[in-house]
Amino acid sequence: MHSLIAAILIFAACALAGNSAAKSIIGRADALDAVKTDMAAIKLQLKYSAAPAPQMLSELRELQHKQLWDAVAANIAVKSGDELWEAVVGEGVTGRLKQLSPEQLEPLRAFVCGMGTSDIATQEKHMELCILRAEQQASANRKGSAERAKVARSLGMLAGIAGAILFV
Amino acid sequence: MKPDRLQAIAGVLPPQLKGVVAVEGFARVEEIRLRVGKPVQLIMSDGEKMLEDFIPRQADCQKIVQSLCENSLYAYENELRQGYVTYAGCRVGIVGKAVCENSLLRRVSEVNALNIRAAEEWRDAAERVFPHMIGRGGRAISTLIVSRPGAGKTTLLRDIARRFSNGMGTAPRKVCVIDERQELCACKAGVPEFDVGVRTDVLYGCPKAQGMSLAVRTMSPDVIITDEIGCMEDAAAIRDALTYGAAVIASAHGVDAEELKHRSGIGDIVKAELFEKLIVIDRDEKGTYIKGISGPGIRGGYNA
Repeated sequence: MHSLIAAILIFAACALAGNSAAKSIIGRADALDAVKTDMAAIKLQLKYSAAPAPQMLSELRELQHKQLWDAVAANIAVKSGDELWEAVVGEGVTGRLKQLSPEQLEPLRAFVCGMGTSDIATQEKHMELCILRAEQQASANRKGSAERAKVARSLGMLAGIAGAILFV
Repeated sequence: MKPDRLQAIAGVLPPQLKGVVAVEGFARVEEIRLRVGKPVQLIMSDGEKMLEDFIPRQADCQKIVQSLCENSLYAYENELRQGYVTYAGCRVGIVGKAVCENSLLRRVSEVNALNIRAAEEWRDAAERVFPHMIGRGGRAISTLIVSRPGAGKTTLLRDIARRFSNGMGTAPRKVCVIDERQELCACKAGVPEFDVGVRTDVLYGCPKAQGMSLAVRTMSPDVIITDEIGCMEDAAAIRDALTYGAAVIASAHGVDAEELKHRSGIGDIVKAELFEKLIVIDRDEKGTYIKGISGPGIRGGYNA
């Protein structure tokens, strides 16, 4: 009886672990998509209002990574370049964003560090380039993520079954 | 007021420069001039001083410009194209490498010099001049204020707006200020940071000629106030405003009416006698004073 319960618990734990890993993989892909969507929304807002960055970012309520952009708004008036990015990473890169690699965060870093450094036309072009690179990152990540998530879930289940069998 | 505004600017200066200027005292400083590779020049009411302790680099000047623009250069594109940024009411002139497109200045890159001019709110600045702008029955008289740069025209216009608007020494008037360079009122989020009166509407960031035409059509002003007129478009807009019935109070760079007549643009304005009075002012260590008043209605005309 006890071994049966232990087997069930082991199976459940492994299946949950596999599911959690799968969610994490999907979550990273979602985070990249959300970053890309946010950047596109900011670029549109720039085109519409051309307001200073802190004001513009606070006017946008529908941004998905609100904490990130709040950190940018709070720091961009007084910091720039690497100093700005470090502050943003410290205050605003949380949750799923934290799981992204530096390469995956690079379009976002370029976008944030490039904000406010040029005239409107150049600024728009820079933003478009960053959005394109984020799109490529998101696309590459999304391609393999479904399979990787499936593999993670399957591995979890298999590990759970193997563990359960050992106990039984 | 001036010390507060320069203190606000001090927030964007490099810490070393801020400390060096603080030693001289912000209250005495009228201009801070930075040039790459040269000592900082402080122009004060009693002379000038060169600060050898801080030699700005190009990166320092660029960083100051970024800070003045809240690290959002695109939001200040119009001002930067004209070579200045207004911050806390202080005008900061910017020069460097001009980037042109189709022979038009697009922006200034490689900033190599900055001129930070302190803004002053002096509530009695127009005390002696203002009575000359009131005609029979309290009518506002269209007046052109002329002086060399730095003599206090903008400070004067600010106080004139306030006096007309609040009815000081005359019946209160509806005033419209056309503040193209945002020096007169220093509006922040639409609210003037200087006191320009309770009955004053401010149109800022708009070219003067267009602004005057718009004001006349939409705001029914009794008095229009604007700074630094000088081109033919301004003349046409002033004529329209006068036809409508508004009085126009404006300023121009110059020495006297005779000198103005020989300059294109402003010369036509003076020759057309659009202004009833021309008041020449200057400044000494005691403050702004009237050098002369002339006009069609005054004996001697513009040669008075």
